[in-house]
Amino acid sequence: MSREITISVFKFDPRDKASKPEFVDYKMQEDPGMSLFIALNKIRETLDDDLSFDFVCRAGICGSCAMIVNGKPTLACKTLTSQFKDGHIKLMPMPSFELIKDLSVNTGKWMDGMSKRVESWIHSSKEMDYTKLEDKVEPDVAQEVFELDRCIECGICVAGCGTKAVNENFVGAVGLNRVARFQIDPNDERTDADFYELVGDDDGIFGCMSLMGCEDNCPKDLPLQNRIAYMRNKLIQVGKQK
Amino acid sequence: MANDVKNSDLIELITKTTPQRKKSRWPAKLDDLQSLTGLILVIFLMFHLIFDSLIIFGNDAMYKITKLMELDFIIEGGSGVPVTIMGVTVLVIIAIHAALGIRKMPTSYRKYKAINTLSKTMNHLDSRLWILQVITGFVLFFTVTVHTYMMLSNPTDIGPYASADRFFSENMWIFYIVLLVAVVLHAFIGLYRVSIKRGWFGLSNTTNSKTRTFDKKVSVAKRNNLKKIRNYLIAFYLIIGLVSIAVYTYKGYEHRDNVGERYNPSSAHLKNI
Ligand code: HEM
Ligand code: SF4
Ligand code: FES
Repeated sequence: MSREITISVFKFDPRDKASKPEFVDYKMQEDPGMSLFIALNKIRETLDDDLSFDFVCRAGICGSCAMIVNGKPTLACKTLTSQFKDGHIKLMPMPSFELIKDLSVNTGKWMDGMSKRVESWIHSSKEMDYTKLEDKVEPDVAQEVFELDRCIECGICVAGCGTKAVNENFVGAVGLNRVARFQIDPNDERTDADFYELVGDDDGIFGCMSLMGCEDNCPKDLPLQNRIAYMRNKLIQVGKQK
Repeated sequence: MANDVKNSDLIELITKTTPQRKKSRWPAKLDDLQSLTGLILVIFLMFHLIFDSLIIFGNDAMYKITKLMELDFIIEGGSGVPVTIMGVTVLVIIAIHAALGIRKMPTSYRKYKAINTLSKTMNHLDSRLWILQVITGFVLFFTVTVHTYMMLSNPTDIGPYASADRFFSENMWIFYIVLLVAVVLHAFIGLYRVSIKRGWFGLSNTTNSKTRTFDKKVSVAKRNNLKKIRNYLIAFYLIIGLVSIAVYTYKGYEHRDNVGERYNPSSAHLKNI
C-alpha cells in the first residue's frame, strides 16, 4: 500500500513582477524507493509544468540539486521521500545564493567567484613539461589532497552557515577548504603569508564563528571543522610575523 | 602639518592595505586575543565559582578562603589590595573580550533575522547556542560590570556575613541568579566553540589511523565528547552556583537583624594561620 505524501514547495519567479513568493502544496501517491528527484519530476509532469528545479547526475556527484529539505540543506537526489515518516516534505531553495526561480539557485556563479577569490589553482614557477612524469608526492599527502578535492561545490556548507547569514561577504567553508587543499599540496609554491593575502581577514578565515552548519550538513563528509581550524592556526601565526 | 596621522594609516584608509600592499595583521591578532581572553575568563570563572561555593561547607571554609585571598598570612588581618588588583585585571580582560565580542554580534534587523530563522529551520543546536552566547554576552555587559564594580568599591566586604547580607538584606539574590545563569552558559558554550575554532582537545587531529586520512567520523565522535563535557560543566557549575546562592540568601535571612556585623571564625586553629 502506498501512502499519500504532501510536498510543499517554495515558488517564486523574481523576474516576473506579478509573481509573489509562496509555498504550494502538491499531493501525490508515494512510489516505492521514490527520491525527491522522482517526486519533483512527477509534480512537473502531472501537476505543475511551471515548476523549476535542477538535477544533473542524480547520483550525488554533480552538486546541482542541493536545496533545503524540511529545514536542512541537503542533496535532493540522495533524499528518499520515505525518510519522512509523517509524509510531509517542505522544499526551499538554498538561501545565500542568487535565486533563479522556485528551487533553482545560481550556485555556479557564486562558486566561480569563490574560486577566483581564493585563486583556486596550482601556483608554480616551474615550467610544466608534459612529456615527463610529475614530481612524486608522498602518498599520505596525496591522499589528504584527494580527500579535500572530493568537494562537489554543492553550496550546502554555504547555505547552512550562520556566519554567511550574517556576513554576506564570507568566503564559506567551501572556500576555506579549497585554501587548505592548496596549502597542503606540495606542488603549490604559495606560502602561508600568500594565503593570508587571500583569506586573512574577517570575511575570510577570521570571520568563521565555528557554528558547524558546514560540517554537519556536507553531503561529502568533508573534514571542514578540522581544516578550518588548521588554516586558522596557520594564519594566526602569520599574523604574528611582520 | 594639519595633523599627525601616520601616512601608513592614511594609505590603509584608501587602499585597505599596508604600504607594502599587504593585508593588515590585526585581524589575526584580534582573533587570537578573543580566544585567549575568553579562555582566561573561563579558567578564572571555574576557580571563582568553586571558591564561592565553599559557603556550602560552612562559614569557616568560606572565611578561610577569603582571608587567604586577602593575603592575611602576609598582611596582618588581610588587605583589600589583592582583591582590588584581581578585580581590575579581570575587568580589563572582560573589557577587551567584550570589545572584541561585539564585532560578531548581528547588528541589524536583517542579520539577526537571517541567523535566527536559519538556525531555527535547520534546528541546528550549535548555531542556536551561538545566538544564546550573543544574548548572554549582552546580559553580561551589564551584570558583570555591576558585580565587579561592587567588589572593587568594597573589596573587604567579602565574607560569610557581609556576602550573606548582600544576598538577602540588599536583595541581590535575583541579580546573582541572572548573572550566574548568563555567565555559566556563556563561558562553557564559549569554551566548546573556541575548542572547535582552534582545534583544541584533540580536534586538530581527526585522522583515521587505518585510512591515514581525515575522517569526519573521528571528528564527529570527538566533538560529541566535547558536547558532553560542555553539558556536564554547565550542569555542575549551575548546581553549585544555585546552591551557593540559596545558602548565602538563607544565611542572610538568619543574619537580617545584625546587618553590617562581620564574621569571626569559630575554630581556634584558623586564628593561628
Ligand atoms: C561583558 C561581557 C561579555 C560580552 C559582551 C561577551 C561577548 C562575547 C561574544 C559576542 C562572543 C562570541 C564571539 C565569536 O563568536 O567569535 C564571545 C565569546 C566567548 N566568550 Fe564572551 N562576552 C562577555 C563576557 C565573557 C565572560 C565573563 C566569559 C568567561 C567567563 C566569556 C567567555 C567567552 C568565551 C570562552 C568565548 C569564545 C571565544 C572565541 O570563540 O574565540 N565571555 N563573548
Ligand atoms: S564542502 Fe561539502 S557542503 Fe561545501 S560545497 Fe563542498 S561538498 Fe558541498
Ligand atoms: S543531481 Fe547531481 S548531486 Fe544531486
